[in-house]
Amino acid sequence: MDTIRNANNQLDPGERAMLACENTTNSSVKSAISIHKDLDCMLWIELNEHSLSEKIIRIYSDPTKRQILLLIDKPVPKDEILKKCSKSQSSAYRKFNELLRVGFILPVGYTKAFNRVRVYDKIISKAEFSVSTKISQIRLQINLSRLPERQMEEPVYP
Amino acid sequence: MTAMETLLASSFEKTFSGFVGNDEIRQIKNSLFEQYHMTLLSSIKDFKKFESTTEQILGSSGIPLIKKTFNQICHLESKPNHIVEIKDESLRNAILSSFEEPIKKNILDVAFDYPITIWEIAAKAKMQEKISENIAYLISWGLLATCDSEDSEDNKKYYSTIDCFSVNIEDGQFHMYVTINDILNPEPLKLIY
Repeated sequence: MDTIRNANNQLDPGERAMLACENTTNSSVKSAISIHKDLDCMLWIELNEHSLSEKIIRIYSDPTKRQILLLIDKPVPKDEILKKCSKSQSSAYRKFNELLRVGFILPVGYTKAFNRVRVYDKIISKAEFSVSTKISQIRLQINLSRLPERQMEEPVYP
Repeated sequence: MTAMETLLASSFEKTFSGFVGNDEIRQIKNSLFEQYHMTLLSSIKDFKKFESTTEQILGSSGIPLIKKTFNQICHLESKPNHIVEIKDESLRNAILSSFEEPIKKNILDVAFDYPITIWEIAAKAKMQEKISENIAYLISWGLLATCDSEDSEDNKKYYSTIDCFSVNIEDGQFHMYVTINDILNPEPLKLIY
C-alpha cells in the first residue's frame, strides 16, 4: 500500500498529464483512474473514464506528437528530438511545448557537458489502447525510474 | 467488395503505384477503364478485377508485386478474429483521427450494425455540423464501405468497416491492430490470405 501511495506522490506530474483530472474531485479521480503494479514491479495506470481516455488518444492521434513521444527513449535535450523529427521545426517545436504543457514530457535534469542543457523524458513508457465507437480503454505504464524526485521548474516560452 | 478491400484500397493504391513504373500504372489504369469503366481505386475495392488486369499488363511479376504491396501496408494477425495489423502510417492516422473526432465517430457508430444510406446516416447522426464533409472523408479512407457499387449514389448503403482497434506503444514502436466488421461478409480477410 505504501509503495502505491509513494508512487501516487511521485505521480504528481502525471496527474497533470491526465488533463481532465485537474477539475475533478478526488473521488471522481479515483473512479476514473486505477493504479496497478505488474509482476515486474512496473506501475500501470488504467483509465476507466471515456472522456479522459479520449483526451489521451487525441495526443497519440497527432502524428507529430506521436513521433516526438516515440523518439524519446532516454533523457534527451529538446534540440536533439526536434532535429530527428521529420516534420517542420516550427511545428515540432510547438507540438513539443504542448506535450510539455500537458505533462507528457517532463524536464528531468541537465547534460553533463560543459554547456548545461536541459534534458527531457517522457512520462509514459508503454501504452495500450482498445478503442471502439462506444468504449475506449487505456493502460499506461509510468516511467517512474527515470523521473526526478522533485518536479523541476520549466521556463515559460513565448 | 469486402470491408477489408475498401479499408486498404487507398493505401494499396498509393503503395502499389510507388512499386510500379509510370508507364505500367498508366497501362493498368487505361485497361481498367476500357474493360470495366473503373478507376484504379474502384478496381482495388473490387479486387478480382484489379488482380486480373494487373496480371494481363505485368505478367508473372504482377502477383508478387501485389503481395509485396500487402506486406508493406498490413499483416494478418488473427484470421478467425478478423484482426489485421495496419502498417501504413497515413491509414493509421485516418483511423485514429476518425475515432477521436466526435462527428466522425458518431457516423461510424450509426453505420455499425447494418448498412444504411447516406441520407439515413445524416438523419440519425447526433451532430449535423459538416456532416457531408465528414462522411466523404470516411468514404475516401475506406472507413465506410458500400455493398452495392452498381446502385445509384442515393440508394447506396454504407457500413463501418472497422469493428474496433487496439494500439500498442512500446520501445519506440507503434502497432495498430484493427478488427474488421464482418456484418456483410463472414470472411472479410479473404482478399489478402
